[in-house]
Parts: sequence; C-alpha cells; structure tokens
Amino acid sequence: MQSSSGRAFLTRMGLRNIQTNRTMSLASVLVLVSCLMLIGLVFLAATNLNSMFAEFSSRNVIMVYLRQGLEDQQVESIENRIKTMGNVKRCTYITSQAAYDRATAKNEGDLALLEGVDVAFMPAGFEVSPERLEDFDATVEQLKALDSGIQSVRSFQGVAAQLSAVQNALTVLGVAVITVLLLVSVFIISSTVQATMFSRQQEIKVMKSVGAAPAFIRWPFLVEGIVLGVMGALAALGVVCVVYVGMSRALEPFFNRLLSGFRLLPVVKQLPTLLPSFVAVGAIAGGGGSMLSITRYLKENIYEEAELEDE
Amino acid sequence: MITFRDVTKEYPNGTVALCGRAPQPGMPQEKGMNLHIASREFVFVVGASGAGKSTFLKLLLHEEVPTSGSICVGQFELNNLTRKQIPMYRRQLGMVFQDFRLIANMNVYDNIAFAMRVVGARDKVIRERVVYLLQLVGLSHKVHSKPSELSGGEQQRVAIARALANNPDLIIADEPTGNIDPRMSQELLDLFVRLNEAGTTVVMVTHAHDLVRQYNKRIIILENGSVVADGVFRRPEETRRQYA
Ligand SMILES: Nc1ncnc2c1ncn2[C@@H]1O[C@H](COP(=O)(O)OP(=O)(O)O)[C@@H](O)[C@H]1O
Ligand SMILES: [Mg+2]
Repeated sequence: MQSSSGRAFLTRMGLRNIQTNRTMSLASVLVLVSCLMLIGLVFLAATNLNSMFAEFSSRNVIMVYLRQGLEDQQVESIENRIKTMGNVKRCTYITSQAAYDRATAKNEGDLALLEGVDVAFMPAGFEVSPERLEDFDATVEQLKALDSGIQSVRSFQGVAAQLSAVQNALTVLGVAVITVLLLVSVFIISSTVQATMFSRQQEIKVMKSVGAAPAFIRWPFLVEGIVLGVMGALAALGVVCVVYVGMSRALEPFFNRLLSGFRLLPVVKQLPTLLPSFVAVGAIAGGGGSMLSITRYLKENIYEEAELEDE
Repeated sequence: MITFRDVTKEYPNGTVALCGRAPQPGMPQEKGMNLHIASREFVFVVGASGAGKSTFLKLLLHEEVPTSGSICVGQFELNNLTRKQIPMYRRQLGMVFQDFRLIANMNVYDNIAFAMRVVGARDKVIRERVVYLLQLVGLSHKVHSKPSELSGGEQQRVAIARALANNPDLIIADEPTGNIDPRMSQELLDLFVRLNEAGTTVVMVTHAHDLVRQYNKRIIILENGSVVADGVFRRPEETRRQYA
C-alpha cells in the first residue's frame, strides 16, 4: 500500500475533526484536565509523603546505652558487632560528654533538672539508625541480646510501626485513586470520540465500502484521540505546577513549625518524571478511548436497508 | 465475473433468504441459487420486497457469507477471503446506493478524492483521475459544490464517479434511481450503460420496471429467494408479458 500520502491526508482529517467538533473537544479536554490534575496532585502528595517518611524514619533512632567503665577495646568490639548486624544504616558513638551536652541543650529552660548530674554520670552509647522500619522491633531485640556490655536499649518502636503502616495504606490509596481516574479519562475520551463519530458514520461506511484497510479507517480517530489526550495532559500539568507552587508557599510556615526544616519538594525536580508520564497517560487515555469507541462502528455493515422498498 | 454455485442463505433467525428454485418438471432439484454473470455484462436484478435482492447484494459485498454454496467474483473466491483480503476485494467493486452516501461537509472534488485517499493513492494520481471522472459524469462545473447544492440526479452522478474512483471492474448499484425523478433516472441509466460499454460490468438492483423495459439488457427476476426468470427481453411487449 502506498500509504504515506494517504496517512498524511487521514492525519489532517483527524486534526480537522478536532476543530469541527470544537465544543465536544473542549469539553473532553476539560474533563481530562481535571482527572489528570487530580492524578498529578495525588502523585505529588505521595512523593512528598514518601520523602516526609524518609525524614521521619531517619529520626527514628535506637539508643544503645553502655555500662560504665568499659574498656575502649570492648566498646570498639561492640560497635563492630552492631555495624555487621544487618538492618543497620548508621551507628554513631556518643561519648558521655556529648550525651551530657545534648541533655543540657534539650533542657535549656530547665537546667535545675540537671543540677548535680555529673558528666561522668551520663552513660556513653551508640545511636543506631535502622535500615528498614518493618524490622525495627527485631533489631531492637537483637541489640538487647547482643552483649553484656550493653546496659539498656531505648527505642520509639510504636511510632515506627505506625509510620510504615500509614505509608503502605497511602500507597495503596494513591494507586487506587490514580487507577480510577485513569479509567474515567479513557471513558470520557471514548464517549467524546463516540459522539463525534455518530456524525461520521457516513465517512466510515464510505471508507469501508471503497476498501480502506481498517488501520486506515482508525487512523484519523486515533490522531484525534491522542491529540486531545496530550493537549489535556499538558494543560493539566500546567495547572498542577501552578497549584503546587502556590501550595508550597502557603504551607511553608506550617511545615516549619510542625516538622522543623521539612519543605515540599521543588516541582522542577518532579518535572522530568511528571512531563513524560502525563504525556504518556494523555496519549494512552486518548488513543485507547477512541479505539474503544470506533471498534463498534467498524463492525457495522456498509449495506443497510433503505426502507423504501414497498411496491 | 460473478458465479453463484448452489448458494443458499439462511439468517440466524431461520429465515431462508436465498435458495434453489422450486422443482420444475423434468429438471433436477437445485441445491441453491446458481447464476453466472460474465465480464462486461449489464444485468438488472428485480423482484418484490422480501425476494432476496438485498441478501444477494450483501453476499456480493461479503457482508454476509452463504450458508452453503460458493460465490466467485473476479479472481476472488469469497468463501476463502481472509480478513486482510476483504479491503482488497472491495476495491474491485464500485458501490452505488439509493441514498447517495456523499459526505455532507466535503465538496464534490473531495468526495471523489476521498475514496482514493483512503486507499493510499498519490495526490497527483488523484487530481488527474478526479478531473477525468467529473468529465465522464458531466459535472466538471460543479467541482467545488457541496452535495446539498446539487440535485438528486447530480448527487448520484457524484456517487457514481466516486464508485469509479479506484477503477473497479464491477459496479454494483442498489436502486440507484430510487430517490430521483423519472427524467433524471433515464439519464442516470444512460450513464450506467455508457460505463458498461466502456468495459465495466454492471449489476443493478432496481424497482424501476418501466425503465428496465426500455433497455435490452439481461434481467434476473428473484422471487422468494430464488431466480424465477433470467434472460434478455428484447421487445417491450414480451417483457411486459413476462411480468404480468
Ligand atoms: N438480517 C436479517 N435477519 C433475518 N432475516 C432477514 C435479514 N435480512 C433479510 N431477512 C429476510 O430475508 C428475506 C429476504 O430479504 P431481503 O434480502 O432484504 O429482500 P429484498 O431486499 O428483496 O426485499 C426476507 O424475508 C427478510 O425478512
Ligand atoms: Mg432489500
């Protein structure tokens, strides 16, 4: 088949159809924009929550306190054993002095509390950051049993476990929301193309009856769907960026107070992920939607009874 | 060009739309419809409503397949057509419908060019052919008109030009004069005859019996799904007697 000029014509036909059915095209782009906008915001929220959790879990340390008067050699051997234990991301030695300094810093307003407490009285120890929050409890137990030189182990395991549960629930929720919205997008594009297709049954019938290949018949509709989808995607991405930047500004003081130093991730950093995924989602929703609706029309017969036959 | 061998068609609801002729004295019972239309022939197919004319056309278009028997059109054995071959097969047919089926928002030129574009013809080829076809059907002066600006007869001539666009060997016309006044109908039939004389096989389903009688062409009469008469009726009186 000498297809190049035919394809070019059919591509123009698809593009022209978008203009011809301007109202329907605009409507479908708008609905698609709102779907994709929600998808984008859910995605950004998820990314931020993830980074927030990462931040939280890094603050989720296990304190290992050592008995008084251990030899340097003994301390070193304990440190090595902790480091090789598995599920240990970081292990830092905290001297008595450092522990004392921290305590005084924390209780600045209330120094009376520490009156009479000697530097030498503060136990030295290790600050251990676990690799995975799921195995937090096991790691704590393991540390408790590790060495007789360990006096006590303190942790905030409840928070850790809850955090990872919340994170999992949010991931599932995010995936579910995105899936539903995707299906809605496909459906919407499909019904738009379907609506415009009704007025083009004649074209489809003519194409079939003169022997156009099904791929050729689909082409203009595919072009139309994909162009609508990508236009919707780009518009949605624009809206998402504007909304997101606005939100980061508005939320900055709130985060400063609540989670010292935490900020929403800059949207520019997300663009390399967001732009291609949006374009892909738009194209798939658009192309898929239009293919869904044309399949029915392709099956319809060319020859249909003209009801004028009575003698 | 066209050969039907023992063709029957029974629709899923049990209606038998095509079948063999009722038993004739001294003739073996037919298993189905048998007929042969030679290349370059001009054939009218007539019959009352429900006689099976549409079914006959649907089988020719390969929109329906026979329940039994086989149909051969040109070099195509329709029972063995693969899905890929169906478009190729249809390019060899030109279809003309009672309701013209022109695309309303395209002008005359584009309506004809459309049929060539969607099968991938080159622009230069398309331009030359459309100009030629418009001359052939006598509508060169209407090249930029929209279908709504044309009379019924003119619209049907555009449809005929479109049917010819991909240079088919066979034209199948379904009641082409059904929506057209008698004087224009005559002109249209003359056009079909000229096309036929130029070498295209024409099969035309029609109700316009009085028109048919004016041409000395082969007529196939269908009744209850089978061929009850088939022949060239040379003189109008004879034809009339056949129908009575
Ligand atoms: N799709 C169909 N399903 C069931 N019966 C049909 C169908 N099409 C036609 N028929 C029946 O087949 C017979 C022949 O119909 P048709 O070929 O349309 O005749 P005509 O075009 O000469 O009026 C009629 O009895 C009609 O009711
Ligand atoms: Mg009919």
